[in-house]
Amino acid sequence: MSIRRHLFPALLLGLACESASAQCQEGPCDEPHGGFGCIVDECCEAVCDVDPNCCEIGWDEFCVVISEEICGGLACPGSQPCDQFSVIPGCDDRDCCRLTCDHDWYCCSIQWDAYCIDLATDICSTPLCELRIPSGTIDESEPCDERLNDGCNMLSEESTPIMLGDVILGTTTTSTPRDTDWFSFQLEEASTVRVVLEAEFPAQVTLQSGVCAGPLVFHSIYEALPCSGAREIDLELGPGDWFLIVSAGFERIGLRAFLPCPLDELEEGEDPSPTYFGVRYLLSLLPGETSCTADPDLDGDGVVGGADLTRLLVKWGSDDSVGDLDCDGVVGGGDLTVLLSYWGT
Amino acid sequence: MSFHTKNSSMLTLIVATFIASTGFGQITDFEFTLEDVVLPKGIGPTCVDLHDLDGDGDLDAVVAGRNREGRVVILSGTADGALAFDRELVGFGQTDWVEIADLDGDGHVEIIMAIRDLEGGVQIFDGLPNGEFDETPRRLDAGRECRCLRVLDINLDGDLDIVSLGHYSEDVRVLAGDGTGEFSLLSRLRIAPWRNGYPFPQSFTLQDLDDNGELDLATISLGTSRLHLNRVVDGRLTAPTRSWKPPTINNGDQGGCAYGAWADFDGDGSLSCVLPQTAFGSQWFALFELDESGSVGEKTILPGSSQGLSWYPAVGDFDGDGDPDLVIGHALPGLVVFLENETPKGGPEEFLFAQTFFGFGFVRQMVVSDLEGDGDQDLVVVDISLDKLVLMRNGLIGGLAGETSEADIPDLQPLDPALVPASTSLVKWLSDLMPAEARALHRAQSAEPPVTSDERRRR
Repeated sequence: MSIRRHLFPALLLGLACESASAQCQEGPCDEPHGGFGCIVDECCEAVCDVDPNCCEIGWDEFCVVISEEICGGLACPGSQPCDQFSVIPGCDDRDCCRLTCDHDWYCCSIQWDAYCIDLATDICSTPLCELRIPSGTIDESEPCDERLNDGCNMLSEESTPIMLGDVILGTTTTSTPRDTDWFSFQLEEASTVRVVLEAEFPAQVTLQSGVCAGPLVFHSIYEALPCSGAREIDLELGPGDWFLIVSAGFERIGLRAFLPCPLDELEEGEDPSPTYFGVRYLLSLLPGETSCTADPDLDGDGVVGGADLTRLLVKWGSDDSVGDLDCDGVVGGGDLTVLLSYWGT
Repeated sequence: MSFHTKNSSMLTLIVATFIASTGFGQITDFEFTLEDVVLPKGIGPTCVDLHDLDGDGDLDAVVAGRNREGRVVILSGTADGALAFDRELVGFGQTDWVEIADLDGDGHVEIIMAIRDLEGGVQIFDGLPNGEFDETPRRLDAGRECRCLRVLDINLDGDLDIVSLGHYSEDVRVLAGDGTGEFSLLSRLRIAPWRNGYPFPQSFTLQDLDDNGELDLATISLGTSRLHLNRVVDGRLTAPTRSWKPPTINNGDQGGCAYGAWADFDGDGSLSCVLPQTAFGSQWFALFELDESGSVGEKTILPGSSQGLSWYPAVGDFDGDGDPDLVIGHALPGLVVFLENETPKGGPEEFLFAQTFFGFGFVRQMVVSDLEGDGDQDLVVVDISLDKLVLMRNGLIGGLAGETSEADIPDLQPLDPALVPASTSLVKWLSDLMPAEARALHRAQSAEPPVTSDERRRR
């Protein structure tokens, strides 16, 4: 009795599974072939929503016409592995394919190129996570539908000051105009600083100096992948005005989509854009670790004197950190001044 | 007598002021005759390169185009500099740039093109004897939506290399050649990543701009409207990237820019980059002059045409006086605008008022060349919207010219700014216009406006 009771739902389930798999089977979506559905599930499902006959009777010319109309960008799963180049859009892991294409439409509309492979590699195996926000962070204070610190990307040229020791909690989105957060700081002298970036999304930070009118100097770019811990970047910088610019992207290319701003105005009847990653990041600017020693007691005898002077002179002109008392990277006059100022102490 | 003299002087001054204020007598006055080279319908020409393809001593041409079939036009040249349709080749898709060079040193030139379709890349039609080409092109991965390329020996190893620009992949790449026609990626430089998602580089120049013996890369991007400079070391494009933006125009607008041209206008040995500033209203162009360190030492903004949307600049000594003059191609309405260089040695840069040639739709590109070999500089104009090239033959030495178009100035309607979607910039929109769209806009501008009832009464 109990067997019979369970048999019927099981049969039903079996039929349902068979029916579902029958809906989207082999056969190209862009050619009539008479089979049920077509091989690209996303396209097949969309077409069969419009005309169920395409999945129940056969994939004919009419289905092809519908697919041409509505299947643009619906290429998941494709036929080739996600880690291989193909002139055909999409890749064979449906979830990974969709996630990649949501962030870069090119991959499902044009071809699966090296950027798509890289993007899939970087984000498909990335778990979602939320940043743990330490106490004492400074809020960026830029609503996601405003552009208050977009630096040279806006005529206002405004940026947010960041000081050594600051930890900024910011957000960035890919809604239009795309958000870029410019943080400005000034160094009085050559210094080593440590930039730490951690984000809920693939984040890029660029290092710039100069002024918007020019020369605006782009020095380097770094990325921090989501949920992969903080990216620490040690930079040796000269005196002057500097910018750190945080936005969505990777070292090789920007991330153009799928980090929407919930405050964006929607058209009537328009649904909010879906999102996958969070939009928050933590940016810290810290004094860097210096390899030089600032202690003029070079022989460690407790007194700064002749023996220390001798040691310094032996290192004269070299980049030995032992004699580099002013941390400028070379043993020279500045270090002698420092040593003499401690003479006898 | 002194009164008379004074009066004469004052009259002269008044006349001179009037002349100066009207520009009479100070207008650029070059002599060109215009000759259409009609291309097959639907080509949508974007770029032309001139080369003697068949070895007969005359310049031939290859024309790239924005057509989805990938059609490429080959024009055959004659001794008098004329160009006539010869044949078509079919490549991978739309193309935005073409260069002709012998990549493998076999004595037969190749056609190298930037594929402007989103798939991007570089397509090569391999050269065969007698000016023929392999009809099946090959493709090199060179980034998304390539819009510009150059062929040169960038790493000085004796083999030609290809440098290509990916508009949608935000980069410039060096594809190093091995001398057999094969290429491998040597260097990639991301352009303006701080403009996140919108840098849209459009064009570049590779030459020793600061005369230090090393090549420099000068890139212009639609998204930043800036000039970006990088140094090239051992064939590699190196950081940092220095960039400058032009001064504002028309009450604080930031003009857009797509292409630049380099010349020493003031004869002081330093090159300046001309950047036409595309904007609604009066047209301007910026001059960025380099200093000894290779930085932009001086920025100048100067007036250009009062009509059209400035797009593509080129430089040539059109009056044969030894200094470079300027020509700017315009879009919608299509104009070719010459500006005679009147800069005193050492500057500041001065140009006579613009001389305008009409009859174009959208001047997409121009090449300065001595077509007939008569010693003066002619101009080949590429009109994307009207499927034609226009040969502008210089009458300076050849003596063919003798009329200018000033006598017949058509009544052209300016482009309605409302046609440009709010989500894009004017210069990006122009760069993306398909030939058919440009043609429709050109027709609308050229059509006589409807006669109002007031006008009818007046007539």
